[in-house]
This record gives sequence, C-alpha cells and structure tokens, in this order.
Amino acid sequence: MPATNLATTVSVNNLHAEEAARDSLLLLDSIPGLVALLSPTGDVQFVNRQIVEYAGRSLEELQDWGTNDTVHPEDLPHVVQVFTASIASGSPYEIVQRLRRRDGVYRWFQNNGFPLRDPDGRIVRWCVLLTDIDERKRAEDALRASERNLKLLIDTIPALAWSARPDGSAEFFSQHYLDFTGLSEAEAANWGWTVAVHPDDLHGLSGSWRRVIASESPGEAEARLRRHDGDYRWFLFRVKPLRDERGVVVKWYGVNTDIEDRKRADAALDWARSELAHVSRVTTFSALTASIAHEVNQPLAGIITNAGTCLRMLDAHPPNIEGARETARRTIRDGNRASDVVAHLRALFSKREFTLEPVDLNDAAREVIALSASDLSRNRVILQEDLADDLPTITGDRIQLQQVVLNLLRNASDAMGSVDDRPRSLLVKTECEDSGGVCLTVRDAGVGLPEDSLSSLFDAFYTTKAGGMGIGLFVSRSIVEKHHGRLWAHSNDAAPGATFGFSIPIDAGTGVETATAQY
Amino acid sequence: MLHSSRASRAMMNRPFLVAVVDDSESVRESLQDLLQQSGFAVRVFSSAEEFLAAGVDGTANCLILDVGLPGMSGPDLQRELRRRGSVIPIAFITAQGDKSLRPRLTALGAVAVLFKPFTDDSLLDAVNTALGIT
Repeated sequence: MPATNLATTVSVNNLHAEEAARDSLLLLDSIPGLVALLSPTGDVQFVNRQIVEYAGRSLEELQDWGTNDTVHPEDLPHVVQVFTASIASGSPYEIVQRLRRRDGVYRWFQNNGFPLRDPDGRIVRWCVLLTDIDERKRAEDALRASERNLKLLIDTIPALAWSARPDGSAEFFSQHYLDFTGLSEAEAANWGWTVAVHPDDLHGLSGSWRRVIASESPGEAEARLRRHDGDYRWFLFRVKPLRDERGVVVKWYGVNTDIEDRKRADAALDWARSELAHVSRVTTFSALTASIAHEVNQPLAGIITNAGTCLRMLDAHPPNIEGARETARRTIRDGNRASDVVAHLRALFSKREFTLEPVDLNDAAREVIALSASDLSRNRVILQEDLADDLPTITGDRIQLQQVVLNLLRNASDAMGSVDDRPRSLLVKTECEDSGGVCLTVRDAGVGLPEDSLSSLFDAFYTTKAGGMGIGLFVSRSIVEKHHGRLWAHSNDAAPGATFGFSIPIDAGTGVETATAQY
Repeated sequence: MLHSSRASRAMMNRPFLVAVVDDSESVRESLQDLLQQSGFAVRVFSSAEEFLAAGVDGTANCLILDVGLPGMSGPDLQRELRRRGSVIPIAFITAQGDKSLRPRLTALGAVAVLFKPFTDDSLLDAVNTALGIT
C-alpha cells in the first residue's frame, strides 16, 4: 500500500496532472530500487515505498537525513560534502555510502543523484537512486583484504617470489625480490630483471627458462643474482605453471631461494674433506717417520759400507778387483732400493686427484706390509699373511686403498701396544666375496673394542689414543665408501682383540668415475 | 785403523770371529764383505733366534747386533746372553734416529752404539774396541 505523502511543493493544476502524478508515484513505487525526489534546493519531497520499507522511517524522519543516523555517521560528512557541492553546481553525483536499515544494520548503497531540468534548463527536481551494493561491496572488501594478506604473505616469505606471463615475461615481483636486487617494479618487469643475473649464468638460465616454457612443466635452474650492493649470490630458481580449466598455461609462478650459503658450505666441505684426508696422511706420515728413516737407512748403510769396503779392496796388495766389482754392484742395488722407498712413500703421501686403475689388492697389501714391517717388528707384532690366490682385480685408487690398509695395520699394532701375556699376532687376510667383490681383514690380538663404541668408531675425531687425532678410520671409511664398499669392525669371537675389514665390489669403477673430490 | 798386515797377522793365528745379526740384507752383505776384507771370520744371521739356534754365542769373539729385529729384539738378545752367562762384547747398530738410544744401551753394557749409515772406519773401530785391539 503506497504510504507516501505528497510534498506540498508539488503543484497540481488539473485532474490530469494529478492522475499523471499518481501514476508516476505508482511507477516510482514499483521500481525495484530506492528512489527519492528532491527539490531543486535538495530538500527531500518524496521517497518511494522501498525507501520507507528499508529505512523503517517516515518521510519527515528521512528529510532529516543530514543530521540523523540514516546515513552511517562515518560516511555522513563525505556524503553531505558531495551532495551539497552537487546541488550547488547542478552536476550529477555518485557516492558510495551506508544506509541504515530499519533493524539498525547498515548496508552499502550506491547513491546516484541527477537533476531533472525543464525545457529552459532550470533544475526542477533532483532524482536520487539508491542501489543496494552491500553484498558486492563486502565481497570486494574481502577480496581486497585477501589480496592484502596474500601480498603480505608473499612479501614476508624469505624468498624472491615472482610471476610471469605464459610467454615468460615477468609480471610480478615480491617486495623481497625488489629489495634484494634494488630494482623497481618498472625496471624489473617483463625482461628487465635479467640485468641482475650474472653474465656467466644468463645464457644458461635463459636456455633453461625457454625449455621450461616450452615443456609447460615445472622446472628449476641455478644462477647468480646481483644484490643491490653489487655482490652476486647463488639462487635456485623454481617455477610452476598455472593452468585454466582447459589446461592452458595462463601464468607461471616462481620462487628463487638463496643457496649461496649452501654452495659455500658444499665447497668448504669438499675442501675440508680433502684437507682432512691430507692431514690424516700427514699424521700417519709423522707417526711413521721413524719407520721411513729406518727403511731408507738400511740401504744407505749398505751403500756407505760397500763404498768403504770397495776402497779397501782396491787398496789391498794385490787389489781385490773381483771383490771391488761386487761391492760396487751391491752399492748400485742398495741405491736403487733407497730410491724406490722414497718414491713410493712420496706417492703415498702426496695430494692428488682420485684416479682409477686396476688394483691387485694382494700386491697393494704386500707393499704396505713391507713398508710397515720394521714399525711392526719394533712393536713386537707378529704378522701373518693369508692372501687369497684367486683374488680378482678390482678398479680403484691404489694409493688410497693402501692408505686404508696402512691405517688398519697401525690401529691393530697400537691395539696390542700393552699386550704382554700373549703373542701380538696380527693376521692380514684377503678373500673373494660371494657377491664377486674382494675383502681384506686385519685381525689383532689386542685390547678389543669397547662395547658401546661400534657406532661411533668411524666418526671423525673418535680416538682412544692419547694424542691421537681420530681421523684415520673416518677417512678410511670415506675412501672405502667412495669405492662403493663397506668398512666394518667387530670384536673377535671367543678370542681377544678385534677384526677390522673392508670389502670392495668388483664393479666399483663404473660408479666412481664421476668422483671429483680431491684426496 | 786396521791395516791388512795386522789382519794377516791375526789370520795366521786364528781369525777373530765376528757375528752379525741384522734383518736387512743390504747391511748383512756389506758388513760381511767389509769384515772379511779386514781379515775377520764372519757369520751373519737375520734374526736373534737364528743366532741363538746356531750356537755360536760361545765361539764368537764379538757381536754386531741390530737393535730393531723381528721377534726378539737386539736388547732382548743381549739380556738373554747375559742371562746365559755370556760375556761376548756387543756393538749395537741401529737404523732408528733416536739419539737417546746410545746412553741407554751403553748403560746395559754395550761396547758401542752406531747409527746407520756409519762409515767403515767407525764400524771397524768399534770391532777393535770390542776385541781389545788398539
């Protein structure tokens, strides 16, 4: 039922006009919108049914909209300002504002006001149309908030996040990305970001990016990015495609993670490993200095004595030519012996790359045993060999494997350093494994392994020796594992002492070829 | 220095027997040549056990003994000989560089301690000292 009152300023001249007016009002009440008619000076003269029903107020109350709570108090100043300016200027206005519903809840409306002019251009009326946009506005606000949250999230992630168009040109960069490179959004957009890529890495990165785009699959690449201060750091670039419902790639999302520290750590680790191996050898070397001098002094003693004897023989009456010749021959032989010892030891302790060659483990072990013989005998160690006749040749680094054998022999000898009530027997044994590999064990009659040590035995710096550095077994295990083998230890069954051993598979060579660490 | 003429004189009576115990072939062969060239009778052994088994500890006049031997060491052999009542003079030779060996071994009764490589002169001097020849 139309509950409107006709403003008295509307003058009705005749019945037709009155009917026309009534029809207009009916029309206005039928429009599914909130409509109000205002005087040229902005006074509310008519409000349609929808307004009255929405606001739950009478025309008189609504006429006071400028001072009451019809319009949300926060929006009121702005609305008044725009409205007043519009009335004064005669220009239409559009305001987004909240309007109070009859239950007290405010909803968002789009308020459009426009003047109705007579044929002379004079404003006779203002027409105000209010459209409920509350749901739309709330959705927009939620979206904006969500976008803000997302941006906050992206900008907080400690990574350089970015997105690109299907053709690969960059569209968005997170704040971190811009802060890191020191580029502005405009500078970085499209292909501008490539100025921050290290010149040596740009070609490779471009190629990878092109391949990923063509493959339409996730991908990754590593390259150096220039920080705002000029320093280059390694990054891992990872990217994934976003597809629409048809499966077409519509966007690429990427994240670049700083891996500089990891790269440096890797390099440092490699360097430390090789240094460790070197130190291990040097420590072994210094511990064997007496043994080395010992080895060389024997042939040297022979040489000196023979030379002296040779002179005496030549001085004799008559000169003992045959004897002199024999001593000279022995001198040469002893000289070569000394030279061999030095060369072999030099090779054993020099820093060199991992090299692959066929290795007869028996031969290699015998050499190490010969080298350690005096050291072992000085420790009263009785060494026995049980080397398999049919031991197959393996592929590996001969010198490094010898270092492992040397380490095991030394440890075995040291383990028996305090043994006096039984022979200090040491057994070096080689045999074939069922799986086709070779196996070398060193069994001693020493103090054995402490119960709880087995798991930590091969750890770096584990040692039971005062003054020991504890890196021998750690490095030995590294070497054995590099050959795809195993190094183990266990206490002897029903006998004192322990057995250490390692096994190397026959085909260790194929996997080991790509090793690049320096030992 | 021992001249050949003196060696010949010794040989006319009965040559001194010098026993050499050393596990290095180079040392054994060179010492044997030097001592024989100097007029001594020589027996060489590669281990203390071999020496004891040969039973010459009673007849040898002088023992040139390596310190670092496999199994029974030089000093061990010296102790064993003393335990058996032998008074054979011993000159130690060693390839180890540890100079503290000399006072230690001398304290145990060694006549001389020589570090390899030693000159032929010093070796013969030691033998002469051991044999009481001046």
